[in-house]
Amino acid sequence: MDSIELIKKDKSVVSGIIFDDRFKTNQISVFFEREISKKDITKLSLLFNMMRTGTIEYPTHTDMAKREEELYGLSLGGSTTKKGNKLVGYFKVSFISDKYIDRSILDDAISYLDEIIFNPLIAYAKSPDDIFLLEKQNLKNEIEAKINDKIGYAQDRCLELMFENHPFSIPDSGYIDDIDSISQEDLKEIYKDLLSNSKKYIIFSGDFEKDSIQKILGEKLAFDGDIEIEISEPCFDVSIDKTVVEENMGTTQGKLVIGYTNGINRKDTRKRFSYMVANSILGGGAHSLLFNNVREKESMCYYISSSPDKYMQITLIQAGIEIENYERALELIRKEVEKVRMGDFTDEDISTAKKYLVNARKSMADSISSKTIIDFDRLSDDIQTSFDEETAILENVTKEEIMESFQDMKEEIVYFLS
Amino acid sequence: MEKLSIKSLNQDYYFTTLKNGLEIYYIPKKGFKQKYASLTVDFGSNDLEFVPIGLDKPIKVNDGIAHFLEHKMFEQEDGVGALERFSKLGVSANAYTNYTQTSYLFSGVDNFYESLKFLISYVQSPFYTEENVEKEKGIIAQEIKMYEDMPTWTLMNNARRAMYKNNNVRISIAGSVESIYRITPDELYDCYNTFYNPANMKLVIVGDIDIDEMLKVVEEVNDLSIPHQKEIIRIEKEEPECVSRKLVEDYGSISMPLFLIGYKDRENTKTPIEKLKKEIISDIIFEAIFSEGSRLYDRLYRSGLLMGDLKAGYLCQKGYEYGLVYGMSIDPKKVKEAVDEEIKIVKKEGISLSDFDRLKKKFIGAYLMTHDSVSGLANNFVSYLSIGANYLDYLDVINDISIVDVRDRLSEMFYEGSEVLSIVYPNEQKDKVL
Repeated sequence: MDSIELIKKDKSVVSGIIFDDRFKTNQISVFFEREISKKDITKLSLLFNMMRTGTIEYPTHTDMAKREEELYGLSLGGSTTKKGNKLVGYFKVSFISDKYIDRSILDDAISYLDEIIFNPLIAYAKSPDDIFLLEKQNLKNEIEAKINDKIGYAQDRCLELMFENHPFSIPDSGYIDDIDSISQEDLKEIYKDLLSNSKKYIIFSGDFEKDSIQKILGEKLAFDGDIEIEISEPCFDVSIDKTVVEENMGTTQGKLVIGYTNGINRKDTRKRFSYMVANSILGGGAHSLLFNNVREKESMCYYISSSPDKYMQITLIQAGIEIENYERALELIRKEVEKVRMGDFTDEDISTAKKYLVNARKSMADSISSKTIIDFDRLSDDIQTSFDEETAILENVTKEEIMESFQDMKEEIVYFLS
Repeated sequence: MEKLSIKSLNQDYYFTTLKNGLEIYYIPKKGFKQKYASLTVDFGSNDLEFVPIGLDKPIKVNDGIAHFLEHKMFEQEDGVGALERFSKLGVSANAYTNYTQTSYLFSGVDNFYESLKFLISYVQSPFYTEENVEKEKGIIAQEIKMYEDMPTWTLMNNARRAMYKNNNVRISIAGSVESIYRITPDELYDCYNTFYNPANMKLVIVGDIDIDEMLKVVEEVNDLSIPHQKEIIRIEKEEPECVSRKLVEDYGSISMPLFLIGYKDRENTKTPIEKLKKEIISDIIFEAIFSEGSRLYDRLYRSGLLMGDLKAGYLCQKGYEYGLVYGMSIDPKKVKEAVDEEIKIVKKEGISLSDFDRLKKKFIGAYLMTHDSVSGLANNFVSYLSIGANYLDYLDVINDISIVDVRDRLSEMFYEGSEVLSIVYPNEQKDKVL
């Protein structure tokens, strides 16, 4: 990794190339980054959806779909997601490299992405009212549909309960109740704000040449980079009302989620990687204590894992259990967490966890989209250590460091959906 | 190993068959760090009645046994589970069962040859006892209940039950909680001894490896004393052309109804290439009717009937063939009406040449994209082996397809009695009159 070669860096626009000629697909991504806010989130979520419904040149979704098919199934992606208190919106196009098809589609692919970002109908003309209403309804449905995924829903609820009235609790798709009152004018406004008041990252991943990209960036994807963008430092305090919350939705299998704060600062590299190994030992896969002692030995659950969120300084432990096993499962899980804190794990556990993590890291080099996300994250978080240096640190953390990293693990809430 | 080349893809691959019938395929991906190996058994959840090796009468086994066997494979006599061993090697291992195959696989960056050796040896060592079989029942029961909580699973399961009267594809892969509780160690050994023989298995490797070293490892660990037999008599059931039930409705914890329309088809292809070609042509037809650029989708989208996309596709599998389309809608029956109308029109007027050309490009692009992932390429390759086809032939086959092929296929499809509508409504609607 760290294969990103910077082309240009202004106050608020960074562009670069990740060169890789092993793939049959190329990718161009544009990321917009800004501070998350309750008042803007729903509008931005709707905007990103609306921007993919029509442009000046391709006014309807049918026109867009046909154009993408014509470009050998070019795939357009776009969404909003969260990194702690930052909102990241992106658009990307993935398309077949000219080497494998009868004609060149590279210029067309870039023009298409440029068209989506700079000429959306919603910003310059009036979108048909029926499409606007439909997209609003679609967003409502999208937010409501999260209920379908019980496992994901349980996680979201746990987070919501841990961070009430805090930027961390703002859902990345926005709030259903805000949708009706949004007007097309509102979206025009927020569109202008998106383009001028966000940090922008343009990344070309694949078989690209620096010179030709530099030339293209003069004409296409030309943002004004001369503005300073401020994003405040997040606060990591939780605000819990109740420490145990149970909800009933008539599920066949109980979904248990335990929320912890972990006190791991993203900038403290050594501690961060020590914690990563500790978490892997606890519940990072089939090699872990949770998997072996709660699932395999006790047949308590079908899935069980522990997942840290690096931006919110929290960890969630989740398990799918028989409803009547709730107390026992909780007891067993807490025991395993204590084991890691007290150093009750072997050198073999450490070596296995490290091998697992190193394998996962090295594998990411084989995916053009993973490489792009990783390099974008590092750029935007201003991570100075290289990816390979980080891997070396991971391989070297000691048992003491691993135990030390777990000392701030504090159980904040138990959430149970049945 | 024999070296073959697919010029249009600029891709070589290697193939050999060992003395005991094990087939080995290697697809080199130069420069990739990840290496992937899959040992696949030609035994799936559909194989519920067969003649065991050495006997002359067929036996019937319990639903869900192939999947159960897959779960139990990880248990080793010395007490150290297979997954744990792979973890210690730093590779990521897994297994899956579908209607026609069971696959044991691993992928990783380091320790490839050692992991490969272990993959083959652990699949060759079954270990079933009363105790470990009982314990697994609890875990699998949880897995089955997890699926039952998923409305999309219910949707699909109900559709298959309604489409097929006798074909075992109507039975869910994991079986039911009742059927798995009836499974015994002896039954597991019966299945294992017949199906898990090398001549009924294939090893697929994708990545950047040394062939000679790989062959050496495989030959070292391959147990030549295991009796092998390629031909296994599997009892197939007669299946009528038409679906068993036209409509099936259910409820689930969702906010909007899910629907799925299944289109049963006649199995009339003889060779693997024919099957592959039929699948691609049918897939193109389904795209033409249901994809985002289609007239039908535009109509449904503007009417507000659909939430999100329509997902559609066609499957040409061993023992069954069908197409399907699914999505979410506030009124699935209205969607079905619109779909029926559109199919009538398409059957009469056909698909335009410009639509056909454009969709062909889309399929070519989508196919090429699957080559960018070692595991994606490997999984697809393994999957097409179940019908005897070579996934690497796909590009040449699709380039060969003409609008005439589409016209001929269209005239056979969507026949009277071939469709089923499966709906899952939100639980809240249970008390309302439908």
